[in-house]
Amino acid sequence: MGGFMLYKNDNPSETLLQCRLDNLVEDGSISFPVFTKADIQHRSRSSQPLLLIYSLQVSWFFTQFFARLASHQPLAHLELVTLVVTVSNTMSLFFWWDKPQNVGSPIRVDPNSLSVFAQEQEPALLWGIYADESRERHIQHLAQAALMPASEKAERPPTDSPKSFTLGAVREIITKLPIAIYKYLVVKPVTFLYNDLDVLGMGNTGYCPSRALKVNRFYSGPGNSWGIWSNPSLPWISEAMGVLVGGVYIAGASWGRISEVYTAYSFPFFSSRVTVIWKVVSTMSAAVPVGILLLQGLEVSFDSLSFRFPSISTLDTLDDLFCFFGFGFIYITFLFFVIARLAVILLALISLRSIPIGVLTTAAWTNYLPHFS
Amino acid sequence: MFTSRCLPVLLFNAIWHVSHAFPLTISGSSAVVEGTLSEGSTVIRSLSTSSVIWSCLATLLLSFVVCIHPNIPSPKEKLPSRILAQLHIAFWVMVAPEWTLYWAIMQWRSAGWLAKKYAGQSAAFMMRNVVVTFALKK
Repeated sequence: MGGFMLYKNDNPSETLLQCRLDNLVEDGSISFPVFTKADIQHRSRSSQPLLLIYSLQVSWFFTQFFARLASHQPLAHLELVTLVVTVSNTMSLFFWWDKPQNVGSPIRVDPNSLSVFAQEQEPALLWGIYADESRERHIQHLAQAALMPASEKAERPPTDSPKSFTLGAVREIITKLPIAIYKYLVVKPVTFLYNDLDVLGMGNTGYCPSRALKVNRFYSGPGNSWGIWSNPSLPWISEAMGVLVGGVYIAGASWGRISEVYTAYSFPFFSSRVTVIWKVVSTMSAAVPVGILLLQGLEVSFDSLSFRFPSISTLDTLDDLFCFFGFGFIYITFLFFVIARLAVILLALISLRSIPIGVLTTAAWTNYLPHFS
Repeated sequence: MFTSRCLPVLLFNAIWHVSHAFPLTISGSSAVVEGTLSEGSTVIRSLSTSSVIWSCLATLLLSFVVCIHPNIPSPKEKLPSRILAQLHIAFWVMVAPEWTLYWAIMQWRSAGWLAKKYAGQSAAFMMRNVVVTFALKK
């Protein structure tokens, strides 16, 4: 995304978001840029040999993973994480297949006449999409205000700061240090995470100031804000994927025991305390997507019901209620979710210190390919 | 150009080396097991802990490099900032892979909508046999 750059007087002036491009073409300020498929694919820096190596490596990984699963050999938890991430990424590759990779420069778009832009209003008034910018700033402001009340606002009396290293300077540093630590270790990361939740996790437009030279790192189009999609159910694939990821992590909790039952080795995979932590953390990372899926499903179904039976006002109220609870659920559980997923990765790395011998063996995977013998 | 041509070869060499050369060494963290482990699963070679880590890391790195298609950065963006962007994306790929999938699906959808809308119009400007529909997906 961010593939079209509007030029004014031979200088790049702004990256055209989708709806901006659409609007400008419709009112005749620009004509739709002329290019071919080859023009775009030429900008792509993807490499075919790498794709071949990737498919070989992934097919090897999957075969040995499922062969070892079928022969009741233990698996390392790091392999579990790798499996989940690889499956999800490969599905992303399917949807990104036609998108050129690592494009360095956008396509140049020139306006038909400069006079059109001379009297243009504030973008926020013209393009509904920029309303999201203020919304996002509002969210950031709320997060900052909740975590750090009256930050930056406290009026400091104008004191002449001591240049020399005096007791007063030391005292000032000591009093300011906890606040600074809190600001940079808590407030900034949390604000950063919630900003990403809004753009990446919920598909909002993202912070993209008017006349910016790039789109947000995770910009994914205008969303369904214009109602351009008749069937908004496709993104549910990703929610289902989230449930699957959590489910696989939960399944990973019992694998140590499976290895003890089916193989002769009695290496404790995890200590019992770590197993408990793994169970808690993987359940958390599965429960959040399940909750989101459930609340979204209820919201969407009440939405369609209230559309079909407009006379029943209760359905409308329920729709609003589940919308409210859905967003509330996402915003509240989000931090726990991220912490849980990070803990899963950390535990997977820790478990490598004491893995059973079975993990270090490779199954005779050719037995599991369908064949006559 | 150098990375896109040579990196695959170097990486493949590294993976090949790791998966074939290391198992012969017997050190503290590796194990050589012979014979049969359980019914049906014959041990054909043994691995060391480092090779488990290496195969996982190689798979993860490859899937990140091949599958992730980032948005176009600003023309003014410098190298450190671009590397930070890659790390930022990698963080979310590891923590919440389904969100990356969501990102891809939404882009596929919105680009498809734009392509469908303007496929007919831009074809008027161009020669025949020019495929625009999927070309717009960027």
